[in-house]
Amino acid sequence: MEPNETDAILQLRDVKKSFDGVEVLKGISLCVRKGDFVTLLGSSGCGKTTLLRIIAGLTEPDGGQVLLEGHDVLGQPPEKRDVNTIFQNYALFPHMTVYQNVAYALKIRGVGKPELDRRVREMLSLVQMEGSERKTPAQLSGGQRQRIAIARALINEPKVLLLDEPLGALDLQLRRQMQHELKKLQKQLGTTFIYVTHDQEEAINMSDRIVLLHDGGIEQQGTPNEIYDHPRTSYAARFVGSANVLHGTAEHIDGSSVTLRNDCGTMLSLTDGSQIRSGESLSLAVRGENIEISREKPAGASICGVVEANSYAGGMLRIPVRLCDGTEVIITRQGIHFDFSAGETVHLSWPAEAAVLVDREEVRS
Amino acid sequence: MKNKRFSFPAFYLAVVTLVTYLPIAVVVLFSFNDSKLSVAWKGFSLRWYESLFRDAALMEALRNSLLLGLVSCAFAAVIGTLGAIGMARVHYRSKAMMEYLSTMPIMLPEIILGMVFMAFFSLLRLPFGWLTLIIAHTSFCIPYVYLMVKARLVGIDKSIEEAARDLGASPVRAFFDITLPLILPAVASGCILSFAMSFDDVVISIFVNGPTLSTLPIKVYTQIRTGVTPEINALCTIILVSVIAILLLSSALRRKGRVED
Amino acid sequence: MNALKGAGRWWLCIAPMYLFTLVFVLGPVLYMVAVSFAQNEAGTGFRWAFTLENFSKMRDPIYLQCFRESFQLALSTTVLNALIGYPFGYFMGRLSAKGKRIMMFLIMVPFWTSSLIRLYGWLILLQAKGAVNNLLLALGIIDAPLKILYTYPAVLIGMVYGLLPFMILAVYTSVEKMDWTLVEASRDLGASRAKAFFTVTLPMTLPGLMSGVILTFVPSMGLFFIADLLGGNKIVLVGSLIQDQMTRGSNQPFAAALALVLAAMTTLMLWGYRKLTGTSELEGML
Repeated sequence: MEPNETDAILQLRDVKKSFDGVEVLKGISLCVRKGDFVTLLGSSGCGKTTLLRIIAGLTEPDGGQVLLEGHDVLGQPPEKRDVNTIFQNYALFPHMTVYQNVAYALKIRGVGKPELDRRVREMLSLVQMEGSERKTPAQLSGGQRQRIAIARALINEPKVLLLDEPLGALDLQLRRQMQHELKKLQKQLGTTFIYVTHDQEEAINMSDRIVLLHDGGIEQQGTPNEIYDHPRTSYAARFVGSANVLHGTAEHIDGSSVTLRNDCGTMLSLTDGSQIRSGESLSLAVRGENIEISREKPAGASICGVVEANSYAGGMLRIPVRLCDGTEVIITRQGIHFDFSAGETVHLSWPAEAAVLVDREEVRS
Repeated sequence: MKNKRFSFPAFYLAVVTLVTYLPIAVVVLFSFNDSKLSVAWKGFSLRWYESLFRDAALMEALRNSLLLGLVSCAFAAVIGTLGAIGMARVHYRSKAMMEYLSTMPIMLPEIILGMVFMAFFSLLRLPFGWLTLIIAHTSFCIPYVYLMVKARLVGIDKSIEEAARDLGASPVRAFFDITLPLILPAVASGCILSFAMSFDDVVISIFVNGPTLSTLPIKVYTQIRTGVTPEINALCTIILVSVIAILLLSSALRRKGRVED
Repeated sequence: MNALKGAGRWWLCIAPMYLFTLVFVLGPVLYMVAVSFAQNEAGTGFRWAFTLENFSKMRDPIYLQCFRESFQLALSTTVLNALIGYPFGYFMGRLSAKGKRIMMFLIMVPFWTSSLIRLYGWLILLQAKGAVNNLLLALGIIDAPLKILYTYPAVLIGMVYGLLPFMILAVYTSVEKMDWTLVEASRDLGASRAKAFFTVTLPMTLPGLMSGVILTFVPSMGLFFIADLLGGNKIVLVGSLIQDQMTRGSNQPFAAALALVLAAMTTLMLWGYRKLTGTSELEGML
């Protein structure tokens, strides 16, 4: 399912970049399939914006190749590249009207008045901003500026649209609405979108593929489901869906599952057991919502800990449990009801399929 | 006027402002006085305005000052604006030093600048007159334009120009379409400020004007020293009205620049 | 276009300013420094011979007195300006947006009107039969007209008046930038109004005040025409001395030495400002 070189509209090969001796991108290779909505996900400083700027031509990489439809575009200035960008703070031209902003790209290409007029109106109606032609950006709200920025970038019919955290400045409700609209727009136009964000929820909601960046490299890439359900590293597990990562040594291995042991008990994980040796140290990731909690020690594998003060956020109850070795496990529940009180000793368990082994070098390839 | 309670801050602001305007009011008042002496009121008259326009030497000084201000301000606008744009993009080690040197003309007391120019121009054997006046005035006009444009450039989001490039504009096109219109209000304010400084300057001009060329401030200075003719009052009133007009214009420009942020 | 790619284009932009600055700012200043160490020769100008004579000459009581008087005048001007201008800038910064605009306009008009004209206004006001004397006589405060014009107070009035806008604008700029929630926080934590002012407002507006001090102190050392017009010939400032030595006295090396000392004092103050505030640009200068 990974996009390969034959159906890729954009290819990056070993792209490197350093700023003042600090390596921001450590050799990124990536294929983007035509028509996909691809999200570059990562925390701030992971290099995602730099990567986007390199694709746009606003930053020159130190090494590597950027191929657009098979042609190397490195060395081409941004105005020659068939990609357009939506900037983080929209970067609308403050001294021009909405109409002039949207028309700018066509005006440079010398498109005649009737066609220019028609296409500007078309774009404005696409983003539902008809009637605001004569307003200036200062007279628009954040969401409206966002729409104009989209119209301005799309009027050129770019092969790839780059979006640099375009929803970061909007409030939560508007952000949800724009997520939906952007996705709809992308499907409708069939344009390839490369979307930069640090918000895993946004990435999961919108993307066909997610590229998780960490510390200048690609941590993992795949569909939202793949990354959510099968994180390969503890970083990916924690960043996407905030899973708990626990360590132990392999104890009991059978065909489809493995039991890990540490000082606090035993833990079950589903895996192809054939590649695991007994006594090997392993890490597993398990999501808070899948953890069972009980006062009595359950029959199968379980670990024990002490309940700490819980908190409520975003429709979820977060219950931290401190294990005997000091590790904190976060359990989440819908609603606000929880039968256990702080200080109680409890046993945690989960079905084997809820836990995934992570950080295993040999299966990363 | 909801609250008519006595307010000390308002009172203080009013009193100091009033005192500030007192000498100006006196000058305006006596420009309409029929008497030659600026002591007692003898009735309304426009005779000093009439004789002002007939005073060839004074009118020539006025013309000289206007021309000098315009020329120096034009040079400064080009040099200062280009300088600010360039300095914002290049980085080198002695940049801070260079910046300090470029703004030195408005940091040093005027008297030093004046005498330094006088000595230097005689060393170069430049004829004292228009050339020396323009060089001297341009030197202290550049920093005003430079600092104004620099401040504006700092306030412009870098991604706005990048957006223009991204949409297909060449660097030159992006500069003329985006950067230039955005800094224009700052260039204009810098020009107005430097024109005002040039038009008002006595100290530096007096060192470099040469024996035959006279600017308005120099003329006014010598006339005040030697006993005033009331035409000066009339001239002052005219200048005052022009200043108010220019100020209104520039504040409109500034507000325009601010709205666009 | 290719020749002007990348940084080269920007260097080309800077070139005119660079050239102008090197030739017409750095050149003259270095020349002045050189001349200040040259040997004066009456009548023919000066000779290039290294000497410290021009600097030792300043120890002469006449010149020392001149420096002392200039310094005193500059200091009194600055102190008075701070006392009058700080509250003004402070009150102005607390006005509504519209009030600020109006006050700004009212300040800018005299600021941009010829300084000579305003000086001349004072000349009219302060003369023996002028308005100030008439007012004081009418109010019965004095019995006979005071001689104000051509005295030290007259010069002081002229100086304070001429430089006050700089102080006001500098203070106002930093008051405007202030985060007033900090004052509220300090009041909330139990500080009295006065205590909040001295522990929060004043320290936070200090860059503005210091900038104002420099913007008034530096020029007041050199504004010879104010002392000249309002003080008659009685008060000789360093500025007047330099002008005199440059023109009538035709002792260029001595004038250069005087200017160098004055420039050094100025630079020292700017350096101190930069050290204390961390920026080289004076607050509210434009």
